[in-house]
Amino acid sequence: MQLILRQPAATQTGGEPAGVVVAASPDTFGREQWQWDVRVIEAPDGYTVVVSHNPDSIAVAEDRIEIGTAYEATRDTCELWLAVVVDRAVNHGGFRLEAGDVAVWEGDDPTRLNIRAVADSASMHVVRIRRRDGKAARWVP
Amino acid sequence: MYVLNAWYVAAWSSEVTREPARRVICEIPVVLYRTQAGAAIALEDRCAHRGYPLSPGRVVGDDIECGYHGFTFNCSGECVRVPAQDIIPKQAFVRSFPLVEKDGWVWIWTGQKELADVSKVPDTHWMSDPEWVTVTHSIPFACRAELIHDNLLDLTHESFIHKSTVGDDYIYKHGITVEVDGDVVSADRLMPGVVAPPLYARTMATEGLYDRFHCTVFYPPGYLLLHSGITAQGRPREEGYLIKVLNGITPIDAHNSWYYYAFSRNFGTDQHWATEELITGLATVLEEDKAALEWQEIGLQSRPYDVRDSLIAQDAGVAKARKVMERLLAAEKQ
Repeated sequence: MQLILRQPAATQTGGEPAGVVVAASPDTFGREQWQWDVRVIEAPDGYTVVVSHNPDSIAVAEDRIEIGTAYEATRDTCELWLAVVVDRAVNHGGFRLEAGDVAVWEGDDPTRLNIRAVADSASMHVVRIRRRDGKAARWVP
Repeated sequence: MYVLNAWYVAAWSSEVTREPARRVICEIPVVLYRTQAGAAIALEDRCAHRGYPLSPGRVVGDDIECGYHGFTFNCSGECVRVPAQDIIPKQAFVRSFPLVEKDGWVWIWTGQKELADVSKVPDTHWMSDPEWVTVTHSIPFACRAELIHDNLLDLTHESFIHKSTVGDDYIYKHGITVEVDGDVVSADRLMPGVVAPPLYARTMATEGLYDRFHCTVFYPPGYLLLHSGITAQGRPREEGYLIKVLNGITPIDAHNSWYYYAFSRNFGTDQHWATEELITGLATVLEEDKAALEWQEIGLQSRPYDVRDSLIAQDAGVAKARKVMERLLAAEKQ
């Protein structure tokens, strides 16, 4: 499953931390036990990504990736990946993602990522979420 | 609760005549008729006198006369005649609604008049484009409008509800790409190397394997456009047999909706037998949806308040559309 969120489409939140929730599990508050959420905070100098998670059940890895011309990676089907474009635009498949746009991938489609900078370079913040029990991490709508 | 600052399909153009026609839209009773020059008019279907509906009355010139005591209202909803006296009470007026007539549909704006933006009436040009042939239906569904939105944003139900027409097990085996851009939500599924759906295969004169696709785009709160079709394996979608399914979903009340349906195709456009076959086949599809969603409505009405849906990844479009609707409703409350 692939989810593309254009910058204004994320869920506005109140309270702390600030920013907007771009993905979470569960997505519907109170239905299942909270696992993780990812927020994006827009600042004058760019976008900051804040990941909160339950460390007993979830492992999180984060990287800021500077894309020269292309970034290729293969996602394990058990992992959920989330990429926030933080500087300049990229293309992935048929989608052009601008700064502030978010892509979420989970399950078995797609696993191969081939992201290309539209111009000479771009930056992404990539979050990889894995369950500690070995089961597939899902975005629960 | 309804999003009222929006355009909804009120009727087919052919349904609006010199005979008044009644519709209930978002619990608002509306009477539709045409002036002598052919302009479509929508007024509140409730006489300012004592609440009798105007729709059983008659059109006189460009005005409508109440069938109870003859109060007469012009196209703007102003009372212009009270037969029993010369003085017209100041409060004797009915609400009028902005309308746009385009490609065979009459769209109504149910909210604040000053916010009615004609440019926001969705694109439906396929219904009037000579390169496309369109089959239409309109059916009242005894279910809330949101169930029809969900149904169109999660097409895995085709594998089960529409097995004999447009369904196949391969549908739910393919993932989706959901895109949220402002208020617009789309759910796109590409199914490479599959057979054409049974209902279209003969019309398309196809054999073998194709890339099938369908992408539902939700323009809240009342219109969903489904871009669908098949194309040769690995070839761009625009080269293929293309279908545009236009879905005008108009709430009547909390448990009933109008479903205005148009199925436009760019293939076999001169084959009348194909059109006849699609008229029957698509009516079957809609009846299957209607039966399923009306059962779902019954199920939801008896479901305890604290029980929620158990959505899955394939419901991503559904979930995002619900959030957009929640946001739009909240905005109108302010």
